Amino acid sequence: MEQLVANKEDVLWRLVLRYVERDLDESILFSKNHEGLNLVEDLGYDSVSFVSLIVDIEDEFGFTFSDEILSFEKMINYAELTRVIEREGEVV
Amino acid sequence: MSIKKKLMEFANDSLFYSENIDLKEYEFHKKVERSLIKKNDLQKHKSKILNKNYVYQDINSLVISRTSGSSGEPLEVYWTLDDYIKSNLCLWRLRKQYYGVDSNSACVCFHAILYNKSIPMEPKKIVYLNGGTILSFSKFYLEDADLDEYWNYIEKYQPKWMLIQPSVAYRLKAYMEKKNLRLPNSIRYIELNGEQINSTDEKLLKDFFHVLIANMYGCNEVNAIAYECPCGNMHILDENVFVQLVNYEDRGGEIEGDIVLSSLKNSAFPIIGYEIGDRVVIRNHVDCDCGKHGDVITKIKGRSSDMLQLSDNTIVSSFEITYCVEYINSIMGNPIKRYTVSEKDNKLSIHVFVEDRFIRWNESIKRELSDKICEMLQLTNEIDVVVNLISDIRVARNGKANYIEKVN
Repeated sequence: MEQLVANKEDVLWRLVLRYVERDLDESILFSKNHEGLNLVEDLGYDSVSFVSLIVDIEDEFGFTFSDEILSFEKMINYAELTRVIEREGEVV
Repeated sequence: MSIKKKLMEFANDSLFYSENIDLKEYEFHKKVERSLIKKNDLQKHKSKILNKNYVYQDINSLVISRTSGSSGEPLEVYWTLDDYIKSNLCLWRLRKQYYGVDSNSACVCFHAILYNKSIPMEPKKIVYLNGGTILSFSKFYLEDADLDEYWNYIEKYQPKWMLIQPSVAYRLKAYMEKKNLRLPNSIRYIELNGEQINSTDEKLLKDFFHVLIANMYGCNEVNAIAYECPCGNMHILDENVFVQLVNYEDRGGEIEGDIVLSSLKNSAFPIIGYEIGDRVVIRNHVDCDCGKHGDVITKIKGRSSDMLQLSDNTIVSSFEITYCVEYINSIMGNPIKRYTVSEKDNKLSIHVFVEDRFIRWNESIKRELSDKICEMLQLTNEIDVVVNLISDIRVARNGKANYIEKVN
């Protein structure tokens, strides 16, 4: 189970990096812990790249985010994004 | 949650709906006897339509989508950022699934007037938008010299897709043919929007551009309404919008009527039972090979304000005339710069403004255009199509290529 979770996090991090267009600090790029990251402030995300990420996550993890759960303000927080994916993924 | 319940929740927070419209009495069926609001209502009552919880908040926190409005009166629609994202998400899912583009894919489009919130931006011929993911060119400048300049930008930018109006696609086709050019290999998909196109002309563009081409039908008031899948069906995006028809006619498996829209996502500025003015034909319950099941739009006949009813009851839409004009432009090297259409005493008159250097082809242009219009509209002999060449036509501010004049 822990292995599965770790893999999911690796996949998510790879998806998140896909839409980062700025040069990232190595401490962020190679860190194993992304919990405290904010996609907008730390990675330069905006609503356009957020939409791309959401569609990629749905494709990769095989579920569709419900309207009730989708929130730009909350989900740009990496830790919250991870929690939402866990919750939505369980529903499937 | 049912559609009615959801829309009633939206309406409860809007003074306009609470005071003026009894939604309990309104039936959310696909065919209805009346719509609830029209464009005028959106323009006149926008502060009352706005969710009361946002009235006293900083309106800058809301996303504004804006059009100049067909009457020239500005029309603004307000969204929370989350609602705006949700409204667009279903289209982005399908764009990726069908055509492999996402919101970060480099895109080329054409603009008329750009806005920053409510304020028109300084006119720009070439501009990068959305953090550089969109390269946009002005629709007002489409001469060969302008397209030479645009083409250089496109080659450097290497877009993955283009989002353009059919009339611009025709213009680009004529230019590329003249210059013997091919689309850069980076472009794998062209999305047509803003004007309707028939399947014959779409095939003409597909055969020329050699990329995937699809139609998207939408409006700023609710965003995407329908989207064409690779099987050629325009699927209604029922996650985003509830579609009804008023003034409808059943036509053996299909229904034609004036489209009435309800946004299923906009809680800040509820749009419910909104008659936008387009007339469409819908086929219900289509099982498509793309995997979608539901209603599809088989024909968009344009805005009722952009239509003429001829004496034999034939409806002529500006879209249909646009196709004919753009068809002539594509086969004759873009001679027609602007045009208007009017109808009086059984005579359909097309007034076209032809570029000076094509003057000696006047008779050919008149004949070809007249033949194409008769063929397209399948006109009876009682209707006389006359093409007049004129020296100038007033340019509309929205940059749209087609106008219909009502002559009483």
